[in-house]
Amino acid sequence: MQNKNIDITSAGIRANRRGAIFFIALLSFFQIVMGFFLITGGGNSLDMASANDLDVSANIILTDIQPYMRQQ
Amino acid sequence: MISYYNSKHPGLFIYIALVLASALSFLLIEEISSAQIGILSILWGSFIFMRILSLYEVSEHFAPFTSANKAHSKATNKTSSPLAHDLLHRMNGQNHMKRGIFAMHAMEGRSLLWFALAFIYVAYNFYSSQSLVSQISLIENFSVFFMIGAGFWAGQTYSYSDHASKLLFTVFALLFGFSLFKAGGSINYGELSFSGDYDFTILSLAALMAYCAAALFYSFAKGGVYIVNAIMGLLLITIMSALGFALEDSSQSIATWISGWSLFSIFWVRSHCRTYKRYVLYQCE
Repeated sequence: MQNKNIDITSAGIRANRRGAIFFIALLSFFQIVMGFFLITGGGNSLDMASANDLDVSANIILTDIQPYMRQQ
Repeated sequence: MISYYNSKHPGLFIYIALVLASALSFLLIEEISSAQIGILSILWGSFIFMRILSLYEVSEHFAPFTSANKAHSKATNKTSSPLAHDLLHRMNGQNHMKRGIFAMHAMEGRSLLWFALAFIYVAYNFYSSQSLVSQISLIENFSVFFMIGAGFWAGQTYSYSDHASKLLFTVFALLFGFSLFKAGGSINYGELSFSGDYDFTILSLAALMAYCAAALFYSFAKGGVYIVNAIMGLLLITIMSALGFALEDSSQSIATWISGWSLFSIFWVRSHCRTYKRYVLYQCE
């Protein structure tokens, strides 16, 4: 006689994933910290976009203007 | 004992509200600010933290039952509780935690592999863009990726239930349609010709999509009652793959991704057969 049983025990073993639980908890905690960081404006750090602009203008001075300055 | 699972789906409505709030704010606000993304991040982070705490409760509650023979046999484990208490404990566990056990399927290997592939995509995306954009933009990007991943993961923990999945399907399908309607202007149809050089970012995204399609096709090939969900999932992943290539980077595309992956989580969970059967042959001696 054949009897069909649903294997609850092995389902429980698969469900018991502590590593994944701790990793997701850590990630969400990190995300909350990031959220606060975004709200406070990231500690007023120098924006890289404006730093790039400065860099570009410095290059313009070096390459385009400096030769004329030397001539004078 | 105070248990999250004694109440009826408190998290489901918070989850729907969060997906709606994030998708609609990316759709409707013209220039979304860092502070607004920060608020959404805190809400998503807190929600995922609470959800994982509830699943931790389930996991720890079921841990004694998962180790074989402890609950059954007094001969092998004399330190366990008396049988009546043990049975009551098991019955309470069955009632309160059945929902949680199904929700734990979001942490199966099948989904973890999805997250591993997504992590490769995100990591390479950051690696290639770190010198180009500011620190704040990187954190904003990370928050957006977190929202998409959290929407996909949390959707899986709710959509095993028939009632919940119908509600999620209705809400997210409408939201996905609305996002597509709003993002229609930023679709670049020329990108769909699949010509030109693709960098590793696009390749890793393609690998993620191909993995989803392969997993769903496996469910489709197995047949059974899950076949409709597998077909729906395959259709959706086809649309999402096309959007992955064709959508230009904009806040509308972020809303499309959030609603699209949340919608996809329903089919991802419901196309997979998890009933493992053990055939036992009883013999008379």
